[in-house]
Amino acid sequence: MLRQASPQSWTSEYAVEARNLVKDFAEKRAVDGLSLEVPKGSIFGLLGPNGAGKTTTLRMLLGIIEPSSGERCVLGHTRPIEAAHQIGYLPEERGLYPSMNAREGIAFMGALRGMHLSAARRGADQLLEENGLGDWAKKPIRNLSKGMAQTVQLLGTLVHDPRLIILDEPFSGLDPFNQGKLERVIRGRAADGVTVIFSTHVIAHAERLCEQIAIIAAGKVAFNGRVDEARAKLRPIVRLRTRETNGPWRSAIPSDARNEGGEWIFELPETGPEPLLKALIDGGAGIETLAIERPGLHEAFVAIAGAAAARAMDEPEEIAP
Amino acid sequence: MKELLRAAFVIARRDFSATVLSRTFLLFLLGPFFPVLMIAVFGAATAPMSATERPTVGVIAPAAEFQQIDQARNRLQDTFGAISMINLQRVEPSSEPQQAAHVLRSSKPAFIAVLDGGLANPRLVGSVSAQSGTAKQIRLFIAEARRSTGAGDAVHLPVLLTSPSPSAPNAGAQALTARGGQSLLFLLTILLAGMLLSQLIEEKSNKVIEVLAAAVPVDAIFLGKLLAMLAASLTGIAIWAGVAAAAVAAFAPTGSARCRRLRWDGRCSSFWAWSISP
Repeated sequence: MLRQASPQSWTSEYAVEARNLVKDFAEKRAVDGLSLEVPKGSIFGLLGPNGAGKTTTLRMLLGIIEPSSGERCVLGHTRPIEAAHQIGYLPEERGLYPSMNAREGIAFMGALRGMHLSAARRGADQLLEENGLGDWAKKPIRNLSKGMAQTVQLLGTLVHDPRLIILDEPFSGLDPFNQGKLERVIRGRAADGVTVIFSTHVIAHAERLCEQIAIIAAGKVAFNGRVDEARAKLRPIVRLRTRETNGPWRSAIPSDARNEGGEWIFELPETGPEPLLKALIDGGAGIETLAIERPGLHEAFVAIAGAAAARAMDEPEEIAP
Repeated sequence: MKELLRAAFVIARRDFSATVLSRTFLLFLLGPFFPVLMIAVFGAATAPMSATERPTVGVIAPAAEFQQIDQARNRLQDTFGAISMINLQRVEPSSEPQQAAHVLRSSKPAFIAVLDGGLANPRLVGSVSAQSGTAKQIRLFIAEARRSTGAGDAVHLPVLLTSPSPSAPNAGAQALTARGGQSLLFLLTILLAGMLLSQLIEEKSNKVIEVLAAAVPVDAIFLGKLLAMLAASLTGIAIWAGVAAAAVAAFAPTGSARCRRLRWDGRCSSFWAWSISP
């Protein structure tokens, strides 16, 4: 999926295309030649540790900041602001007017995106009711809990029924219950044909939700493709427990296998599982348990972006009350 | 352009209602008193009127007699340097019976009043009251001139009040209204700039600016904020004007000839004199 910028025209099968985007801030290059394609109607995850360039990339795709070089096309517009009425955006750092009430806050965001205020208010009422916040509609946002305020902002992102939803770290600060609600919202919108792009540094969310991902490290795209393609970059892992500790069967175990509490862990040899099984049986290993596991996205991420990036991804985050 | 205006209106509507319906709007209403106080103290925007801005009184008198009055004025000006004395301009006496009234109507630039009768039998004609600053200064000039010529310093100065004619409006009121307008623009500029800046700082700190920038052109954000601040400022001014009008109606003496003859520019002048006084 990675490709160099070319003069060819934009293709209509993608909701978002970017070619060789570069963004420099003073002496620092935040994004370095990023290219990606997001198919229409897909859930697309931007994975990377903090500081990898995810937010800068999203801001360039939205037209909030202009790239230093490179080009992008969003819903058929090379100037993203022209497609603003069809886009919903949830920034990483939530921005709401504390003195507005929840209903007006949502309606204001809808009006910004081209809705009539009366229609936006009706939409706000409906969304608040559907999400159990009907009783809080007239309460100032400053009186809501952090989790409620985040929900209000998300509803403001959705009130105008956008064709493209861009969410920057949407799960950040949400408790597991609200994370589950958000996942359902994302899946629901995607089922209606809406394209969803979200950035995250939590691999589990991407693994559960995304059809396509781009792994960004140090401002560059290290991988862009389907989740199963990323996982397929690693060989399956074998977990073996035997009754015998020694014997001819040991020759079937790769030299880099490690033993953790009597369990052997190693990558499945390229020859596949059958020769391994035969060697173990013929060698009298006495197989107690044998599991062949496909590697998770986390392991794929470590292999693609490096262990340091993976450690940065694992940093704990604050949970909203 | 249509989309730009639509987006600007959405932002302006929010900012206007958020500003006017907030408690800080009360501070906004009181805020102008602070710069006004500073202006009054330091005279930054309300410097003493220049000679060309001071009201002028026409003096129908022979040259020698005018010179005595003008010299008396200059001596008093030297003595009370900080106080702006009114200007005097000589008018050649004629045989016309109502010369003072005629001069008052037709002089260019307009006289605030006309003095005739000389030092012996002075009489002031114009749209000023007997207790106005203009009448008091003229009385002082004549007393000083009479004292210097040995004619005694007792002065009886009848003041004949006239309505200002449309062709010769009250110069003092005009000057005051102009200064009021100047102060208004000055305050409006300061208030608008301050409010705009504080709004942008607030939006940058609470990250709303990113939501706005992603949804509408940056031009629309600034235009909307300017419109909102302008509307809020005009609302504030309307409130000040309403309070001032109510105060004038409540406290101004009623039934007097002066009150009956006040016209709009006079009302404006009263308002501004009230509003810019410390």
